[in-house]
Amino acid sequence: MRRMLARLWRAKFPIAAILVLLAVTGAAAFAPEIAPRDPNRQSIIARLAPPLTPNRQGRIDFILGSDGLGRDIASRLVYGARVTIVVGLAAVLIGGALGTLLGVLAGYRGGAAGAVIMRVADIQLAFPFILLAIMVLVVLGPGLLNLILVLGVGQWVTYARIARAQTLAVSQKEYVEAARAIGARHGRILRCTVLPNIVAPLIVVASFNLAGVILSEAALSFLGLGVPPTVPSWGGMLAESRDQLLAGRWWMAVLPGLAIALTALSCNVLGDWLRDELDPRLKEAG
Amino acid sequence: MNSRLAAAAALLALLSSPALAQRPDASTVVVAFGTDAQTLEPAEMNSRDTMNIADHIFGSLYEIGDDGHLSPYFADSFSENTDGTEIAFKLHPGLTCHDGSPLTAEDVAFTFDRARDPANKFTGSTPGFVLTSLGFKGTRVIDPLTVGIELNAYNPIALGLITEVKIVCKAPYTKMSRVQATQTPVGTGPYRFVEWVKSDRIVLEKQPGFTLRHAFFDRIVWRVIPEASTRAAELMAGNVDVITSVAPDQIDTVNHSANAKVQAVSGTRRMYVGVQMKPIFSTPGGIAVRKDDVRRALQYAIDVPTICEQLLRTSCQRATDLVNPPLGNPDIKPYPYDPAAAEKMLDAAGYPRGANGVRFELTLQAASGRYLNDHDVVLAIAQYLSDVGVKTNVEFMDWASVFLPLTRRHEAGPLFFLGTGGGTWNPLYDMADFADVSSVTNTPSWSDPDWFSLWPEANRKQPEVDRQKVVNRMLQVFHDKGPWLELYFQPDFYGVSNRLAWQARRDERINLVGATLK
Amino acid sequence: MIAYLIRRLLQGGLVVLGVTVVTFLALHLGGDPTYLYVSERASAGDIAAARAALGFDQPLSVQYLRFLAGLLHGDLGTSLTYKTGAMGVVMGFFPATIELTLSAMLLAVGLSIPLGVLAALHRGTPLDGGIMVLALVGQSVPSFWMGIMFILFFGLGLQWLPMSGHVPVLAPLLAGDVGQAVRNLPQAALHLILPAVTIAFFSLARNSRLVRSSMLEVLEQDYVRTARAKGLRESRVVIGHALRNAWLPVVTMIGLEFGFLLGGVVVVETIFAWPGVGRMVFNAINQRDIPLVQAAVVTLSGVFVGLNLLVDLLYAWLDPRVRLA
Repeated sequence: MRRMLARLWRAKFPIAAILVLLAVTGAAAFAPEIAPRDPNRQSIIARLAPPLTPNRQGRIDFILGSDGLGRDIASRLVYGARVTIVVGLAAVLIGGALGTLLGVLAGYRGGAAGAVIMRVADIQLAFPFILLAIMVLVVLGPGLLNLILVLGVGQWVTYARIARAQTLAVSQKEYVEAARAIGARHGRILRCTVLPNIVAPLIVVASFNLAGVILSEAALSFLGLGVPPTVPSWGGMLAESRDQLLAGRWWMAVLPGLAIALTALSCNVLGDWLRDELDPRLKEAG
Repeated sequence: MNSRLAAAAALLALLSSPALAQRPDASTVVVAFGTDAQTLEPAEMNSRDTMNIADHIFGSLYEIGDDGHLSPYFADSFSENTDGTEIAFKLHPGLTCHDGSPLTAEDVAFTFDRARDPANKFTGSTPGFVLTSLGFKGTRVIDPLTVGIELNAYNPIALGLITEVKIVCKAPYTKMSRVQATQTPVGTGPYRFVEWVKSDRIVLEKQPGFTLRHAFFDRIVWRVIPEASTRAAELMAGNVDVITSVAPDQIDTVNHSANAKVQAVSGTRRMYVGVQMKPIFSTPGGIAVRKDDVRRALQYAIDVPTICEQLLRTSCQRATDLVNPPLGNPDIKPYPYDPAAAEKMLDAAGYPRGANGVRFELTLQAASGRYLNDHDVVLAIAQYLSDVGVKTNVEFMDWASVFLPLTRRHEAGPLFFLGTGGGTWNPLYDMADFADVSSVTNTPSWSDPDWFSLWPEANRKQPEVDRQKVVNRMLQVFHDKGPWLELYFQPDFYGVSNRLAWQARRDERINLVGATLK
Repeated sequence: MIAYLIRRLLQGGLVVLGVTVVTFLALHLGGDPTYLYVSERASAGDIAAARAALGFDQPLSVQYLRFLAGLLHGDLGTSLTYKTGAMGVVMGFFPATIELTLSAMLLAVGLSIPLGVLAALHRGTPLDGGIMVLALVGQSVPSFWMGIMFILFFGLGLQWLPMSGHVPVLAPLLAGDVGQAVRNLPQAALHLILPAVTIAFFSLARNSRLVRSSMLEVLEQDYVRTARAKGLRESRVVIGHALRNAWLPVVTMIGLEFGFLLGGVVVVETIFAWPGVGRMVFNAINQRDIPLVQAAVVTLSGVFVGLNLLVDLLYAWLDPRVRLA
C-alpha cells in the first residue's frame, strides 16, 4: 500500500497533468451545462467589467469579468475548451496519421516513393511553419476547418521522420528478414513488428505536438487567422485582449493565457513522463 | 574578476546614459502610425498615410486648409472660362524646387500630363481617381506663371479635386529613373526628404527658402509602429509626439498619463450598413430588405449613440444622409433608436414575427480590423437587428481577397458594413459615390430615379445657394429610401504629446507645418 | 565529397523551386489582387488599366513562366507595393531579422547549454527542479503575450529598456561603414534585448531540457565513469569528455532552430515595430504582393537549405562515425 502511494506521489506531476487535461475535455464536452451564461450574448453596457463586480442589484453577473462586448469570460473559457480540444486533437491526429503512413511507407518500401516523400518533407521544412500557415490561411480564408487542415498537415513531417527512422531500424532486424523469407505478407509484418515499435516514440511526439498546436492556434489567432470571432476560443480571446493590457484590464488576457499555458504545460509534462516511462522499454526492444 | 566588474560598470553606464532616453529634442517632432509608406512617387500613392507624408514634401495649387475650406497655396488665384472647361491658375512668384530650379507653369503642366500619360502606367489615386473624376483633358502653359487646366466639361468639384495633385518639378523628374522617384523624391514643399528606412521611419527636414508657409520644427520623423499598445506606450513615455488610431479602450489610459492626451475628432469617413439592391439575393430576407419601408424600419432598430459611446468611447456625429456636416441638408434629423417603432413598421410592412420570434434572416458581411472597432460594432449591430426579430448572421471575411472584390463587383450583401472617405469642402464630393448607377462606388447597386434624375441639375454651373437647394432635395430622398442604414461618421483618435501645440483635423490628413511647442 | 556537395546543392535547388510553386499557387488562388492597388474610388476603366499595368490579366501559367524566366536570370521582379526590385526590398529587410534571429539564437543556445548542464549535474536538487519548472512554463506561454508584458513592464513601467524600434548594426557593416556600426552598437544592443528574449524564450526553455537530457545520457556512459575514475577534475570531465559528445544533438538543434525562430519573428516584429523580413512577408501576403513574397520565400528557403547543409557537414566533422549519405 505504502509503495503504491509512494509511486503515486512520485508521479504527482503527470497525474496533475492528466487531471487538467480531463478537466479541459470535460469542459469541452459539457460546456452547455457548466457555463454560467451564453458565451455569445452581448451586453455592451456591461462591457469590460472586472471579475466579481456586483451589478446594481448586488448580484455578480460575471464571475471572471466580461470582455469588450460584454460577453461572459467564464462561459467563453468553458466553450473555448472545445476549440482547443477539437483543433488540438484533430490536428495531431491528422498530422500523426499522415506522417506515420508516409514515414512507414518511406522506411519500408524505400526507393523512389521514399525519396519523393522525404524531399517533400524537406520542402515543407525549408519554410518556417508560421509563414506557410499564414499564406494558406490568408488565401483559403480563416475558419475552423481550414485551421485544422493547416495545423494538421503542417505537423506530419516530424512524425514521418521518426516513423521512417524507426521503420528502417526495425526492418533491418533479422527476424523481419526471416519473416519475409518465409513469405509473410507485408501487412502482417508491419502490424506485428514495425507498428508496436514506433507507437511509443510517436505518442511522446504527439503529446509535445499537442502543446505546440495549441500555442500555434493562439499565435494564428493573434495574427487574425484563427477561428471566426463568433466562435469562442482561447487564442481568439487572447487576440481580442491585446489592446486591453495597456489599460490595465488584466483579466481579459491573463485568464485565457493561463488556460492555454496550463493545458500546454500539462501536455508537456505528460510527454516528459511518457518518454521516461516508455524509454526503457524502447531500449529493450531495440 | 576585473573583466566582470568592468562589464557590469559598462552596463550600468549604458542603462543610466541619456542615450537611453529617446525623447525627441525641441526642434524635432515625431509621429507614429501603423503602416509604412509604400512609395514616395506622388502619382503612385493611394493610402492616406503615405499622402500625409507627401503633403509635407510637395505642395499643390490649392489646398484644403485646417478649417476644411479650399484656400490658395502655390497658386494665388484662379479664373474659369465661361463654360467652365478651363481653369487658369496664377502661380505665386519666386517658388523653387528642392533641387534649386525655379517652379513655373511648365512644372505644373508637367505634373498633370505626367500623371495622366498612359505610357507611365501610374496606378495611384491621382491618375486613377482624381484626374478621371475631374474629366481632365490637358494643360496649357499660358505664361511662365499662369497654367490652364483643361476639362472635358464643367465640373463643380474641380477645385477640390485639383488640391489632391502634388506638384513635382520637370527638371529632376525627367532625369530620375522610376525607381529613384519612388525612393528618393525631390520635393517642392515646406520639408525636404532626407531618408527612408523601410518599415521603420521617414525623416524630413525643413526646406530653407520655402516662404509660403512658416514651419516651426526643423525635423519631422515619421515612425512605423504597427501594434496599438506599443504606439500608445511610446507616446506615454514621451518618445513620440503624435500617434494615430488610438484604440478606444486605451483612451482613458493615455488621458491619465503624464505626457499625453487624446484628441477625438469626428472624422469624415461615413460608416454605414449597405443594402444590396440588385436582386441577387432571393432569400426572404434578401427580398424584404430591398423594400424601402423595411429599410426604414431597420433604421429605427439600431442604437447608434450607444454603439458609439460604449464601443468607440466617444459620442460620434450621427449620420443623417451621406454628406459630411455642415454641408448636408440641415432639416433632416437622424433616425432615433426606437425598437418598438421598428417592430410596428416591420409588422405593417408584412413581416410579422414567426413562431420562433424571427421575421426573416439576413447575413451581414464585413471585414475585421479594417475600421475602428469594426469587429465589435458589426456584432453589436447584428444583435440589435436580431432583437427586433431580424435574425442577422455575421460573416467576417478577409478584406483583401474576399470582401473588397465582393463590394467592388457589387455582389456583397444582403447587408454589408463599409466606410467610405469623404470631404469637407463640397457636398457633391460625398454624393459622388452615387454619381451614376454604374459607378464602381455604387456598392449597393442603387438605381432609384428620384435620386439619379436630379444629377444634371445638381452639376449645372450655378450659384452655390441654388445648388444647395437641389442637393437638399436629393439628400431627403437618400434619407427616406437610400440603400444605406445610416450609422455615424468614424471618429479619429489622435494621441498628442503635452509638449505639442497642434490640433488634429477631421479629414484624416495630418498637417504638421503649423505645429509648435507649447 | 565534391559529388556529395553537388548532389546536395542540386537537391536544394529543387527544394527552393518547389517552394516557389507552392507560393505562387497559394497567392494566386486568393483571387485578383488588383483591387488592393487602386484608389477606393477608382472607376472600372482605371481598375482595368491597373490590372494590365500589374500584369494580372495574363493567364496563371504565363505569369508563372515569366516569374521562372526572371528567376533564372536572377531577377525576381518588381514589388507591387514598393514599385522597386523585389529582391532589393527583401535584402533591405534581411539584416534586421538576422540581427534579431542571431541574438535570439545566441540566447537560446548560449544560455541553454549552461542551464541544461547545471540542471544535469545537479539532478534531483531544487536547482534542477527550479530550472525545469521555468523551462516547462517557458514552453507553454504564448510569445506575443509575453512580448506585450515585457513592453509594459520593462519599457513603460520600469523604463529600463526601449520599447520598440531598431538601430542598425549589420546593415552599415555590410555597406562597409564599420565606424557607424560600432557607434550604433550600444543602442542596437538595448533595442535587441526585449524582442530577442521574447523570441528566444520558448527555444531557451526547450533547449535547456534537451541539453539536460542529452548530458544525463552522456554522463552515464562508461567513458565518463572512466574519466572520473582516473581522477580528472569534474569540470575537465564535463567539458572535455561529456560535452563534446553531447554536441551532436545540440548541433542538430541549432540547425532547426533558425527555422523555428524565424517563425516566431512575425509576431515579435509586429509588437516591437522591428523592420524585418517576418513582418514584411506578412504584410506582403496580405497585400498579395506576389513578387515580394516570392523573393522572400526564395531567400528564406535558400538560407534554410544552406544552413541544413552546413549542419550536416558540421555533424560529419564532429562525429567521425557519421557517414555522409
